[in-house]
Amino acid sequence: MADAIVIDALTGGYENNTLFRKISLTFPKGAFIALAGPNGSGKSSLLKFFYKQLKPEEGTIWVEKADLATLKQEVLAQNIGFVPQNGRLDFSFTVEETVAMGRYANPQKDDAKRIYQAMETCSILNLRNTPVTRISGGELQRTFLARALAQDGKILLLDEPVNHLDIAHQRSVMHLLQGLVAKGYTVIAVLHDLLLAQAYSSWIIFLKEGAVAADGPTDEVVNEEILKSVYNVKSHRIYDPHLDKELLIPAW
Amino acid sequence: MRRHLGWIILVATLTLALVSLTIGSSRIGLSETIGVFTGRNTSSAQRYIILNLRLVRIIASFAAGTILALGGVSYQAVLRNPMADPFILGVSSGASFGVALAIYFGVATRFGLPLSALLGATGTTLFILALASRKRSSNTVLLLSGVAANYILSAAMTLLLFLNREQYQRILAWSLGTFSTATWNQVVIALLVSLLLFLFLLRNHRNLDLLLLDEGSARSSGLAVESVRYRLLLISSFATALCVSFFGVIGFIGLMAPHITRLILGAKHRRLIFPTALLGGFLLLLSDTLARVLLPSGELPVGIITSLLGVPLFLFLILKGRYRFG
Repeated sequence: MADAIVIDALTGGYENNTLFRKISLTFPKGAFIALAGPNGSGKSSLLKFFYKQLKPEEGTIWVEKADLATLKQEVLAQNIGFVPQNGRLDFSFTVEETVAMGRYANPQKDDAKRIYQAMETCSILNLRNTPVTRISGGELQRTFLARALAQDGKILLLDEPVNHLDIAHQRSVMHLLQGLVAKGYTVIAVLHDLLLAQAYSSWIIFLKEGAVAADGPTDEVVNEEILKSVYNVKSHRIYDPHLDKELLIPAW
Repeated sequence: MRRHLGWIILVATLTLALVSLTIGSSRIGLSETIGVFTGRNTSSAQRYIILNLRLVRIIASFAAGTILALGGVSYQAVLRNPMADPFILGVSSGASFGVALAIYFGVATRFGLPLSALLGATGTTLFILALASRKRSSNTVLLLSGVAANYILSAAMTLLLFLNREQYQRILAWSLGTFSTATWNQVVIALLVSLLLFLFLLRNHRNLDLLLLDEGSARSSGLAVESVRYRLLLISSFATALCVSFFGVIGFIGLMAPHITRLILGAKHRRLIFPTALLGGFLLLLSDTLARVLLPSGELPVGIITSLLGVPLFLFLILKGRYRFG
């Protein structure tokens, strides 16, 4: 299987705080990839390298076989979309205007169609003329997702996409992402909820203190030892009849 | 109404300009005023009053209003902060300090005064921009630097005032803003700067939209955040600095005009820029006309009018319009 993103010996982070030291990782193409690990382990920071808010001190990141360092921001935008954690927009753009911002890097004649499709996929067509300052958190989350989809990249980065959403909205967003993976998208999502990670992701990466603690197919990687070593939490397995598989849950 | 807002304001501005031309301490009627422009028989005194006293400050206040309003649009986007105005990063206090310094050293001549204001304003701007161009300086760092600059320059100005109390009146009058000293040269420059700022922002309307997103979303959408922010700050700050050095510190237009048009038209900059510029011009012309005629003798500083009338209007609109910042 080809890889969507490959990290080769990445060293970097913030001023006076080198978070990652020579880490290497692969993100398989067309997979639903969960990025997990304790608070402060570097999950969100790793995403920042992918959209060039952080630049590597050393090492190379390859996106679809192109060296990220040589990619212009607007070319990158045609490959990677990003959905922030708790995205906020304090100015009264309508939902449609916000989604349309996804077309910034590569405007085309049929932009209206692409914007319409992105809104349709995220079930926000009925809100298209509503200002984003007047919609709920779940609706805003889907608006930001639609904005990222409108970029037409095949890689989606999401920083805690279902944080603060109720279970019905969690389920609908996760299903939406699953549907995108089925269409050939690579989804890379920071997920705190390991149950969601086990239910939806096919590949998982555990970070701990800026290092890779484990990575691989979710069903193989998630086990008692990993949770013990990454979170220092005991866990056990329960059977989920709906998914017809065993899930690991923390011993509360 | 929404689609034609710009033209409605333009017609209102022209009407107001005509009214403003005909009122003042010397009574010159509407027909004589029109006569000045159509070349009909009018006295040279009337021509002088209409053209060199009234028309010049009508255009000056309009141009200054457009610059301040456009500066507000730009600053609010660059700093991603609805409370930002063109003075938030210290342009006005830099200019005031420059003027206080010039008066203190006795070089506040007809050219020395605006020049020292311009130097003070641009010096402050450059200092803040140097901070902004540093790697990873956040909006918060920039805002706090601006606030710090405002405080230290205000303190320095107060110190100069304290050492030179007899000049207090003069500095105060300047810092409240006036168009009574406007010249045709200033008007031409201000109009040109206003036009350039307008065209520049219009060219950047999509960049301005994206700057209002969180940084991650803006970057991942393809926006070169640093260079765009830097360019916008640079151009808007110099335009504001020039305006302040000519006409003094006139508060609130830069905050008020963008918010009023946003309330009616939404936040998209392509629709916002033209009506906002016109509204800023209209509001400042209105304020200056009132400043001219409200007192039976003499006139009020225009900055007092913009705040006294602007703030209640602004609060009314925000509360009534269910305006939300999020």
